[in-house]
Parts: sequence; C-alpha cells; structure tokens
Amino acid sequence: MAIDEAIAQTVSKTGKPTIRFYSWKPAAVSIGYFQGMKQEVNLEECRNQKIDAVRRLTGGGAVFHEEELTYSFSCPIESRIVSDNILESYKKICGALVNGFSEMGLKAEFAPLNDVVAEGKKISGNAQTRRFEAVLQHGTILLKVDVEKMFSILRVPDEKIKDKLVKSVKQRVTSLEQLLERNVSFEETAKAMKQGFEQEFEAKLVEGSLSEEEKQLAGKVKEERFSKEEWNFKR
Amino acid sequence: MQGQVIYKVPGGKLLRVRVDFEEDIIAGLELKGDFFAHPEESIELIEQSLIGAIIGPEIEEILETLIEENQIELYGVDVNSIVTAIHMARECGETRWSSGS
Repeated sequence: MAIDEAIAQTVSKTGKPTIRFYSWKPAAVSIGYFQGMKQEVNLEECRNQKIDAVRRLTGGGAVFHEEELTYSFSCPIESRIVSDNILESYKKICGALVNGFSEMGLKAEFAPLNDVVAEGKKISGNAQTRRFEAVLQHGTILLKVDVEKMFSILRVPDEKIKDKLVKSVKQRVTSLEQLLERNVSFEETAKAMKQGFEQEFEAKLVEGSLSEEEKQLAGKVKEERFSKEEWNFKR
Repeated sequence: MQGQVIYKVPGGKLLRVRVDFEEDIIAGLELKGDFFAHPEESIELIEQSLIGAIIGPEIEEILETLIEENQIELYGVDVNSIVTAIHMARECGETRWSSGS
C-alpha cells in the first residue's frame, strides 16, 4: 500500500504513468477507506494465521489477498490519459484487464462500477482514488480462490447467514485456475496484463524498478500511515 | 438513544450507519461501508454536517447542498440511501440488517 501511494505521489512530478504488478507476503487483508476494521476483519484469526490487515486509500470492500496478482495504475490527472469522469476511467483501466484476460484466452467484461467478470463471475475487483494530483487505481486478479479461508478472516454482516453467504460467494467469484482449469502463475498473468495495458493505452511499457525517491517515500508513508493504528483503525 | 443499521443500498453497496439521537436531533453519526466517495475525506464532512440536524426533510437538504457545494461524488450510496438508513436507525434503535429492497 505504501509503495502504491509513493508512486502516486511521485507520478505527477515525473509525468510518467506507472503500472505496478505485485503480490502480498505475508497474505493480507485490506479494507476500504470507509470501512470499520473491527467490523470487517477477524483480527484474532489474522494473528493466528499471521495475516496482515491494512486500510486502503481507496474505497470499496474488504479483500483477502493471497493467491493473486495485484496491480496499481498511477497517472497524473492533468495527463488526461484517463477521463475526468470516474466511471469512464474505471472502464478504461478495467478495459486493460479485459484485454489481458483475452490474451489468456478468456472472454471477460467490465461490470460497473468496479468489477471485471468472466463467465458471469467476478475475477477482478478494483478501486480508485484521486489525490496527489494523480489518479491511482489498484485491483486484484484472482489466481486461486479459497472462499472458506477468506471467510475465516473476513467478518460477515450477519453470522446467522454466514453459510449462505459463503455459498453465494462461491457461486459469484472465480479464479484463473478455475476458468482455465490449470495452475496459472503470477508471471504468466503479469505478462498478459502488461500486453493488455499496452493495447488499451496504445503505449509500450518499459520495465523499471522503484526510484530512490519512491523507495524513500514508501518507507516514510509506511511509517507515517499504513503501519499506524490511527490510520488502520480510524473508522 | 443510539440506532444502528446495516443497509444494502438497492443496486449499490453496503451502508453501515450508527446514529446517536438526542430526542429528534442527530448528536453523532458514523457512515461506514464498501461504497466510494470522492474525495474520500468528504465522508467526515458529510458526518459532521448532520450533527445538530433535526430528523426530517432538513437532513436531505443539508446533504444535497453539501454535496453540490463541495463537488462530492458518491458511488454505491446516495443521499436517499443515507437518509433512509438514518430513519431506519431511528426506528430500529438496534442493529438491524436490511436488504433495502
């Protein structure tokens, strides 16, 4: 989360739109900006299973991050690479993911506001914020999904209907492994998504690593925001 | 009196509302959920704007003015659903779960 913010903070100065592909180690749960940590996350279970919990800069729901590819897309607002209209910009960035799935032989589509679905099931969730004079959108692409484990970490609004909810999520959420009926690696998915972004934005992506400034900023942001209880438990 | 409600906005997201009431006046308000608001910090502005408001048409007017003046964009939740959830919290007085449909 701190690296995503550091990139977004830097991008309006460098003018270079940046896409980052990453995964989580250890596994983690992230909650939306407007959610309550204690209401959404079983923190005792997180401690037992050594799972981190963090509040995002972006809205949306709680996400359990384990077997997935996470991406972040940052560009300066004034570059107008994506529309000022938030719905349109979701559509554009998610369009890159749809292209990426197509590279993998899957027909997927954008499902407003913030999902991508394949075969009628959710394969990717996305969330966007606009700050630091930049657009930051991040999202997940599920490589595998373990709904039982997910709900050992995530709390449900009503415990009485938990079984029903787990069943319903199993019907509504899928993974690349389920869709392609084989193991799908992070690398293969990242390669396809890179092509997907290149097609959507008619651009050639240049591989790079974090600049010194971004690294230092990420450290500072982690220390001052994402590792702080004041932030993670602010709601 | 405190009222809490979990309200599934029809066609939208999940809204968790906690309201402290002093007779007909909102004394405290918390809006949580998996919705989106741009800019994000505007949620605190929305919560604070309703402190001291009398339950009734005033709530909707305050919210609409605030949203327009501050160019707040809400997704998965809207003025209607916030007002509905506050009224439900008033009636329930305890955590209730509503599908909103």
